[in-house]
Amino acid sequence: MSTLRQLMQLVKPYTKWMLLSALLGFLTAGSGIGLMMTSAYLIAKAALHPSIAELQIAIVGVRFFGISRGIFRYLERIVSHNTTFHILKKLRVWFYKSLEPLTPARILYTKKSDLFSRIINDIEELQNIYIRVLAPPMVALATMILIGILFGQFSWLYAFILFVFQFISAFIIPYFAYRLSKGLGSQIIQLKAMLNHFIMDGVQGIEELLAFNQFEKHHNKLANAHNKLMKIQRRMHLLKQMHEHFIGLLMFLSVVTMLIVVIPHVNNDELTGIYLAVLILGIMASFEPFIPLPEAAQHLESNMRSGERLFEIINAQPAVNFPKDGKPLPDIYDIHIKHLSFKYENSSKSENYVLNDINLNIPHGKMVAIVGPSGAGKSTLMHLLLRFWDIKQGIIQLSGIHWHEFTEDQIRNLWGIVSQHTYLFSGSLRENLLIGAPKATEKQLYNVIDEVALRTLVDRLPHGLDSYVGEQGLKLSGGERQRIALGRTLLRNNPLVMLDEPTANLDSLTEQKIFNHLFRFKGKKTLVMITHRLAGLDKADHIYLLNNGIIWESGKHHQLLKQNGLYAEMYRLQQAHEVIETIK
Amino acid sequence: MRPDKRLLGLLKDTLPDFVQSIAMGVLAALAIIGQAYLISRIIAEVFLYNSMLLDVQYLIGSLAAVSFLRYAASWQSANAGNKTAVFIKTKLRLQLFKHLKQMDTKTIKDERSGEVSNTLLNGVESLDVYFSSYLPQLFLSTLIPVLILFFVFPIDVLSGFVFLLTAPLIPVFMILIGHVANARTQKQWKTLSRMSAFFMDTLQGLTTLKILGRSKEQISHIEQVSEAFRKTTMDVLKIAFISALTLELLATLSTAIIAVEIGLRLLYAEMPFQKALFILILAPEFYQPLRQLGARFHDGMQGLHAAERIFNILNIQGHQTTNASVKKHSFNNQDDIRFEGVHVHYDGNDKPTLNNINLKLQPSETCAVVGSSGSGKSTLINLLLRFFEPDSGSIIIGNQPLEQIDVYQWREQIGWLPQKPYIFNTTLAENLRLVRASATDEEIMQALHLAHLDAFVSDLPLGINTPVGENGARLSGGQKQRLALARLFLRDTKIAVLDEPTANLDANIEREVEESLTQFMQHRTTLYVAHRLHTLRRADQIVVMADGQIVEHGSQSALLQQNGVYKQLFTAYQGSAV
Repeated sequence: MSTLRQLMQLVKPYTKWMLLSALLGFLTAGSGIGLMMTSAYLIAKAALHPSIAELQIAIVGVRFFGISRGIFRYLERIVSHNTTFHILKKLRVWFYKSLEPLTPARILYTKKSDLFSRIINDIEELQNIYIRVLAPPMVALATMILIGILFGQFSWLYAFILFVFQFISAFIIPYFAYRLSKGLGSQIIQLKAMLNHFIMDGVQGIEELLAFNQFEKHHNKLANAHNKLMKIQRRMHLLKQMHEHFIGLLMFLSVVTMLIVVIPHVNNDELTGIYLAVLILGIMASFEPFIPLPEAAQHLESNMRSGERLFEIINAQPAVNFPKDGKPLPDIYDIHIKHLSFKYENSSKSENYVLNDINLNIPHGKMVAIVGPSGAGKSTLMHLLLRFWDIKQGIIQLSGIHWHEFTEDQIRNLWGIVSQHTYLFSGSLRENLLIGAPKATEKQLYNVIDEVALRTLVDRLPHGLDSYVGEQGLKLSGGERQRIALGRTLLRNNPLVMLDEPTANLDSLTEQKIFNHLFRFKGKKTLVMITHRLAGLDKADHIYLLNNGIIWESGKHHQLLKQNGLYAEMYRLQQAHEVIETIK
Repeated sequence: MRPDKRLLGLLKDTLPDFVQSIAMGVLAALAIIGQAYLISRIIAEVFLYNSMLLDVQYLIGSLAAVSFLRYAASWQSANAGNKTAVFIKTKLRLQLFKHLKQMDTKTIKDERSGEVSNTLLNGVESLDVYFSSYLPQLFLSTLIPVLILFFVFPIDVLSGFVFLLTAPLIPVFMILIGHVANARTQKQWKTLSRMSAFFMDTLQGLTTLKILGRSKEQISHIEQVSEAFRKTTMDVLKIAFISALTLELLATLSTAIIAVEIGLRLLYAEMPFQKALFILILAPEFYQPLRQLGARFHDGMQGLHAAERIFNILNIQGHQTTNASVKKHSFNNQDDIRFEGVHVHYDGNDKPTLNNINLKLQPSETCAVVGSSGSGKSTLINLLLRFFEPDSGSIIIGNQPLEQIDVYQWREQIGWLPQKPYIFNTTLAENLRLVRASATDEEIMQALHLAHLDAFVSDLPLGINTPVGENGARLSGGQKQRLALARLFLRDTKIAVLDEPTANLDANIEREVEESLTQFMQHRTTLYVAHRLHTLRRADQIVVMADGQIVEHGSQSALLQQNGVYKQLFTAYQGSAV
């Protein structure tokens, strides 16, 4: 149960709010009981035709409970929802804080959209841990005590009888609900995932399904997955209903039992007849808090699963440990890589080296290109330069100082990165450009906009720089996204700039423009260009061609062409491709 | 909130279940009335007439029996409601999926893929509560109070009137407050949905934030936004919960009014005790269904939203081929393929995508199409695959118009290599058997060999039975291309349409598959969209397209003599390759 303990630790700061809300929930249930018991007393007493004065207190009681129940319920809902949103805030901050050091290495190679929507779902599930899991037993328990004391005033035997039935409702039924539906929850999640994958395949692969005459077959597979899901969902639903209604049945069985026990007592005047009605109606009002308990037990399971999944993600060790205090940065940034070999920890085969004995120099202010076919190890090399992973064999140095002697902030401030994978946040274009440099002036912003040829975009957008872009906003083309990424980096003004496939998605005119801009930095900034597209490389000071994890060829553009090796062949092929696409 | 007519229409085929759900709900209500009667009778007997346990034993026995009846009836009511929901979810989900055949593939794949798959999964799912609880409750919240009134009026007219007058107040208040709350909520809605998407946004952009050195600042930002979210939501909820408060107050106050009113009349002996107790026990049960309906209000709204999305998609009509004809036509080696005055104009585009295309493919000819993107190259391929029909003009196969040939049989005879192949979330072997279900493992290995993927597959511990993940996530771009190529080889048809890959141009992979592909084209009628000049060498005929029209066509040597676009292109290539 350590998951539960960890979860409880998380919600502990809100104990006061939770107790208050449980108290209000209890008062709501108590008012219900009070209303029915005083009403019963009122009419039973009235049946004996006393003076009206004797009824006064009961009448006031009925009115009071009639109003207080509604008000307590209202307050309870406000407080419990407020608590839920506090918990949500806490969960988000906690999870983000724990995930941040693990990024990007630990999440780089998982299917991200999947992972994140699962996290969001799990956090949403857990935000309800109080309302759905913790509150119902607290309220039920308090109600049990209240009604026990009330009945004890008449006879502890009555209290005991009621206790037996309520104990069954509070513990035994939820226990069976938990046992019988155990595993159904996770089966539903699995089946839903399976159905989802048939749906995704059916939607994204529609052309293949039609062209290969597979549509009907896929339809049947989807129907099959759907039917399996329906079957389990139905079982879950029936179990839930069975348990909930069973509590209603238990309530009447306790009424029947109580009648059998109490009637003889009334007959021999051990109990005043008035209270017969009071007791019976009291029982009928007291079972309400037990109805949500079986469902709470079912929710407990799914909450535990959600908690386990979240803990599993964030309990991973960070891939990199940064020192607290870094060495002071040198004045000149010369990068040397010596005898660097690298393999990922999870790769099973020992020979799976992604990089093999790499020696490479990136002198200050120069432009160095690292090129190669996909899978050659370019991205890994880039990630090592950015210190996403620690290295075990070989060294990376910055002007003689080891890479691992700098803090994370130092390294992030050294590198500016232009990547085709840059994420656009939901927010205005301005916010997206300024995200890396919140203190940039308006003038700097507009300069950069011109430099990366974004002016036409800004003019085209309905609200200019303040137009909403990103996931929920305007759709931008790949080239526009790329230029925004470039703009972000330029505003950051870092001394080292990493260009990860910088001109993918760009037309040749824009490509030329951006290259011209970047080349102006030559001498001032160090440029590292990572690409499989061999364009603009005649300007590079040095080119390394990676293939199968080793440096295959290296030199300047014209030297490599003369060698007539792999580089020259790649270049020729791409030129051919180039020409056809630009024909008009 | 009025139920959606289209949703009610769906009930037609599952009416017995739905009626059963309501009938059982009514039966449960009758049992409740019975319980109230029996309890009031037993208490009255004992309290006022000093009856012994033996005198009331049958009444107590009946109470137990009626309680079991109520349990069975209400469970069965929920059961039948759930059955209705399952039936309708099944019907709609499968109907939606089948409808994809009527839509344009481009709409499904690119423009609205997220919406379509989300509706298929979650949209349909959110109809569950609508049919299993909201709709039955809507009926029961009218039927049960009427039923109770039917019993209360003959016993006590005054209490009957209190019930009758207070009951309608509940829906009236619900609607009134619902309106106010709704207006308030709508105003906040946009802010709220942006705030709830914010966390997902931050997680997805975490790597970017990290790279920009801004990931730690986001902690306080998340805290701020979540806090603002809490405050805004609570403002909305404070209003929204007032409707619940009103319901609650109305129900409990009415119960209190009844209690006092009958209590006073008892006092003056205007009413017998048993009847008073009976009405008192029934009072909360009278308001219960209305309160439950209030609690399900949200489910009802969700159901309506989902219905909107579902029917929106079902209303989309595309240009897709309907299999009007079932004429069989087996393509033979003497058949040519002719495009005659083919014209295609997509809705919403200013210019036609294809404008008066006339083109003839000789038997076993290899025909290459070149042109800039948007020139209409891929539309030619889509027409041959019959993803849609031309607006005018026709395609003739031998002497048979294509639209008159049975679409299933035609597609069996045509091989296809798409530019961005889709890889299904299953094993490598299953991905290949898609094109030929009966293929043996040897045939699969042979196709993989031709596509130069055999070495890779043999290295895998599970070989051809390796699962490839969502859209082939475990394969590289080049491997996906070669898998699609293996599909083409395995399908082994007399006609093939190909869209050469432009991405993942790795020189070594390129060389490997080139040979297999050239050989494959030799005895087949092939139409292929070429992206690289050097692959044009194998073409018997080259078609140059621009703006939906054919600007030049002929053999490579003929085109070079023409001194047109192709010539320019060719010279440019020759020049740059030096």
